[in-house]
Amino acid sequence: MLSFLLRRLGASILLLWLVLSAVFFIVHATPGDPSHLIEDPRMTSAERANLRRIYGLDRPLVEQYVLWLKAAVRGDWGISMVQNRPVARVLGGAILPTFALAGSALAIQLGVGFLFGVAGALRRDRPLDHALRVLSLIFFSLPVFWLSLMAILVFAVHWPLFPAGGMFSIGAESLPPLARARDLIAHLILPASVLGLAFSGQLARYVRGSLLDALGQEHIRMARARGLSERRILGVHALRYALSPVIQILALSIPALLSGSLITEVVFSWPGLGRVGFDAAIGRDYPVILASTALAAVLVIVFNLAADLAHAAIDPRVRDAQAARATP
Amino acid sequence: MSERQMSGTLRVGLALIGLIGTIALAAPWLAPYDPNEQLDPAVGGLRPPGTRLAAVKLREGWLLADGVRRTPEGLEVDRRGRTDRLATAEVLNLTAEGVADSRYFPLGSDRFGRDLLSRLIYGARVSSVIALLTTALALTLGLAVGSLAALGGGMLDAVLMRTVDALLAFPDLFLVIALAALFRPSDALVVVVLVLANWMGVARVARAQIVTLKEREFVLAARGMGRGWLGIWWDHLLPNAFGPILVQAALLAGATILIEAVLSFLGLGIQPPRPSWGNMIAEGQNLLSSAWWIATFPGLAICVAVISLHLVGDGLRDRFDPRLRTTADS
Amino acid sequence: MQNHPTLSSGLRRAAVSLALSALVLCLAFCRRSEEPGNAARSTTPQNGGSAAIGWTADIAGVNETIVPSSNATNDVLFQLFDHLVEEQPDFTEHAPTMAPQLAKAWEWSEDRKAITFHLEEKAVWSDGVPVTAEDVRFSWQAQSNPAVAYSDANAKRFITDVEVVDPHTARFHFSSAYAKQLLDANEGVILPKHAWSALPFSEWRKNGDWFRDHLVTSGPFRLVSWKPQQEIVLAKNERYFQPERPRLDRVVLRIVPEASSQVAQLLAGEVDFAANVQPTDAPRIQADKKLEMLAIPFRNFVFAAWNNQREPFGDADVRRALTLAIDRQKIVDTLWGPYAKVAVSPILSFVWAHDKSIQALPYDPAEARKILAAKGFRDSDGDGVIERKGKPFRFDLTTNAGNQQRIDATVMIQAQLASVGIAAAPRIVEFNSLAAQLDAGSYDCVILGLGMDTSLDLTTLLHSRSIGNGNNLARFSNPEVDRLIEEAAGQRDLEAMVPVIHQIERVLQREQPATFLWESKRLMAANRRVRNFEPSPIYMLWNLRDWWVEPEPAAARR
Repeated sequence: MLSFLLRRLGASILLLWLVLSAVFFIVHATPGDPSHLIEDPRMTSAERANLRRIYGLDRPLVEQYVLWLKAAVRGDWGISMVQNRPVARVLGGAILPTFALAGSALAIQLGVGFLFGVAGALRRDRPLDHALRVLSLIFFSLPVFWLSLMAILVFAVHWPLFPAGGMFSIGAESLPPLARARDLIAHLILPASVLGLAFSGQLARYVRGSLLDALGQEHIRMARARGLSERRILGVHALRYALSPVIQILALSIPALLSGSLITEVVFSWPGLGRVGFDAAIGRDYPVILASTALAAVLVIVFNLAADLAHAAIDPRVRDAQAARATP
Repeated sequence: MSERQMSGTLRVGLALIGLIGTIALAAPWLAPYDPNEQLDPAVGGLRPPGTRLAAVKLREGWLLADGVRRTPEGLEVDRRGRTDRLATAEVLNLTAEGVADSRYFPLGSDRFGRDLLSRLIYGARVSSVIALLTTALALTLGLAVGSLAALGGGMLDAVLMRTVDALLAFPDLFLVIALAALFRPSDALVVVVLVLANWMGVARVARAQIVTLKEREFVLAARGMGRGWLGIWWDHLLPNAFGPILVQAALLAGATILIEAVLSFLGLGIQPPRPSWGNMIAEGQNLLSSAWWIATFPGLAICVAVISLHLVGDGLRDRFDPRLRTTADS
Repeated sequence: MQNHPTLSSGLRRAAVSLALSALVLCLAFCRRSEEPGNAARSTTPQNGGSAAIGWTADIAGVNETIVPSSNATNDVLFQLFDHLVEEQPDFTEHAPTMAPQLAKAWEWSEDRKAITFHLEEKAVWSDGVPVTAEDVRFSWQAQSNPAVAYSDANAKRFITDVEVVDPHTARFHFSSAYAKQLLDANEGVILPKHAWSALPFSEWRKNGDWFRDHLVTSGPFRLVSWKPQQEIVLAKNERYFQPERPRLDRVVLRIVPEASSQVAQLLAGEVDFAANVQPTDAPRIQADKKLEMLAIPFRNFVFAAWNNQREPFGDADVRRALTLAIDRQKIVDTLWGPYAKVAVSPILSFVWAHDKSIQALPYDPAEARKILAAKGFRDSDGDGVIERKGKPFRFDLTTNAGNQQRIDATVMIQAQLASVGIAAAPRIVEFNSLAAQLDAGSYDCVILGLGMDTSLDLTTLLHSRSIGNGNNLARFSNPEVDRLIEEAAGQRDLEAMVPVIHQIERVLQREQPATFLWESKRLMAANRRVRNFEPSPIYMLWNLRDWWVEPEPAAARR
């Protein structure tokens, strides 16, 4: 188990290095420059050259790469060339809002996904099952921005139950902590629901599918033959069997939730990571681009690894198979 | 899940896709007008669905009018509340009652006075071609890499699949911006971007399928008979792996249509004036408050297309292997 | 692999403007029934109260010398920091005048190579330390230091020294006398030496946050809080030296990038002022009785710059034919309605120095065809595209992504040029990539907008030495224009430049290095409870210090 973990870790670091190096050379090869930020550049080319020198962009690309890599290994992600402050602080302010949004969305995704999936599997081919499956397909097929819109239209405009955007109301910082939390939750409900529902369609389909598979398995039929209660069969045996593919899907959907929250972040004026990354790409803010790529890649790797571990913990056969397979 | 119901899903999906395909193929015959004709934007622009305007033919082109009245001297035309008088000699399509021609906008017009129905029909053409090409190329590339990894095994497998992982972790946004900046925007570039961003999923599914199939009796038997991998791949592996891969392809095509819409916003979509559903939405976005119809109809078209591709994917999945839905995508 | 369409994060972001606009659509359909009790409006200015502003972009930092220059940032920073003097928006009739700000008076030396500023004694920094001539000198040192790389450092290149005559007198010395000395001296805000000199200039660009942590300001407002990408809260600076300024206790700038969301929030009463309104949203604002819309001239023009270094755009007759073949009035009517007019010159029509006798070339496709035929272009293969020596007249018509009016203009120009046999292919390119193309000169024609200040300096726009180094996007090289630009810059003041400027405008009218498309107004909207706002063509929040609001119970707002 330990050697499996170590090997995976090694592979992950290698993967991270490959991705970041590729991003480094691609973004530097992309025409454009951090000094081209403004629509009306009054800068002369001499002034722009001076700026490039200050930020070290005039050095050979390989030298810049080595310098960047050395610093990054030490944990120094550099200074934003647009905001003139440490990248860690630029990203730091955006991490919590994004995690708050993605976390709440995940909770909704899990709740709705399992509810729909389990209910559908239990009422297989009955009207409820069909209705839930159609609904899942619709959640799954509709673009996130469309759902966002409908949510705002119905719950913020037609019935003004929730605010249409932002993370806090104007003046919320002067409220007592409890009222502030309530203000935050009110702002969180719409975007988190939209995001959670959009992803729940897929989860519901997988839960239903793997549950039906599990219910058809030999040991379930045996359990049933032994006279175990349906609830016990479902809760202990079937769900456990069904969980492992579902966990795979979840692991993949968490990074997707984090990056997918971008559209929601913008529709609902949510100050998160997606926006930071997009602005950095448009502004060619190289250090911020690289750091946000690294963050995204680490998330993908960590959740994939977590999924494999959970998968192995739930299903011993997988663990053996994984250990046997030489994963570099 | 019964066979009958699933093929129903497949049938509905295929019927819808067939309909879209037919519209795309028959665009020149179905579209009432030239999709790029900008006829008199001052009067013809931003007209809601169902508007009919009189079309007055002049020597240097056309004038549109809310209404025309025949007078002894010629013609009185109402143009957005203003009345102009034209002499008999100026108007080339004069009749006893008014003018011989009219323009009808069943789905309304955009700000340049272009007919949205015609643009939607021609847009189906561009969007389907892009989806088809992208899917075919991503399928080919993914299948090739996935098969190579599965059959090569060992180092080759490791290198290829780690590359796929790296590309999956690579942010599409930078790829899009880099390609957009390095090359002149064109249709081919749109396809290249979509393929580069989407082939990895196919590769993973293809590899997973073939790794499993490779150990099955019929493959081992063929190996035992001394057949080479290429022959086995062609005769046994490919046909057996194709089902799940086709499912992947249907979903990919749906995703492609959505992403093309988004590319238009970054300036990397289909370049104007040619209509694609994506750039039609982009053009309509600033006008939603004054002309909701511009972005709404292509948006609906995209929704129908994506849902029908998902239906096909579902149908295929259950047809090829009901158990696949639990594993194919992981 | 997940089935959900894997748009990258940025792609998703791009889809969003669509979403937002649809939201606006929704708002349009589901109008709230509440109507304002249109009570009698008071006319005497009130002190106190607060206003919320829907603002287009976050500020990039608090230190003007190290942030990229942008309207969104400057407008806010100018509330926090004062200049020496303040340029007035009165340049429609004469050269702009200057009003005192930190400097209460100024005078020129005999040889006009020095300007002496007398500072306001009552002016203090927000920590109570007086504003002195040392601060003025320190600001110049920062602005002209190469390690600081101030984006307007160019304005300081003729200033040889800033002398501290006494604590309240500073003297600027220039290497020569020229027309815009006062504008150059005044460029940039005055920085707090006692607070900021602790950090060496070489460290400034690496420590943007340090200035926020050591923020000391001189303007009418102080910074209370700044949540990046969310909101900027300003409060009245109680120590501000000018009486009755500012009137508002508190101003909240809420970052709302999308114009349609700004309007939506204005309609919903969440903000009092929307800084960016699109012409298509104008009718909805005008229909709402509690809102007021403003259309003010904007010092910006949009033009199609023909790359003069590429054939056939090097030929003035061909460029003239292109202008004649573009129906600019129709473009303006279609895209802007009443909020723009056809542009004829980089000197905008409402600026005093513009030669008002210049008429826009008409839309005359017949004449254009005639010129092109005379130049040897004809469609000999019958494909609808004219050619010369076997080379068809095809070119790329490039503009940046994200600006719908410019993209729409390419669509209309493409159709109009097609009718004279010219095949223009619209190419929409991400802005930063386009900027790289502009530097390299790798384009046929680009449609862009440029801002013009009142210095009447056309060097970066039209001088041949600004090709690939500045904004000479037409890559226009004309010895006569070069000479006239230099002659204009050498005049003793702005008024004296006017006859030379008129000469340049006439050459441009003849040469058509670029086809000027439109000069548009900037549209803004405010709740009627906000009073006395006068956005200037230069800055939207120009007189924020004089805004006041009608008192209104807090419960009525949100």
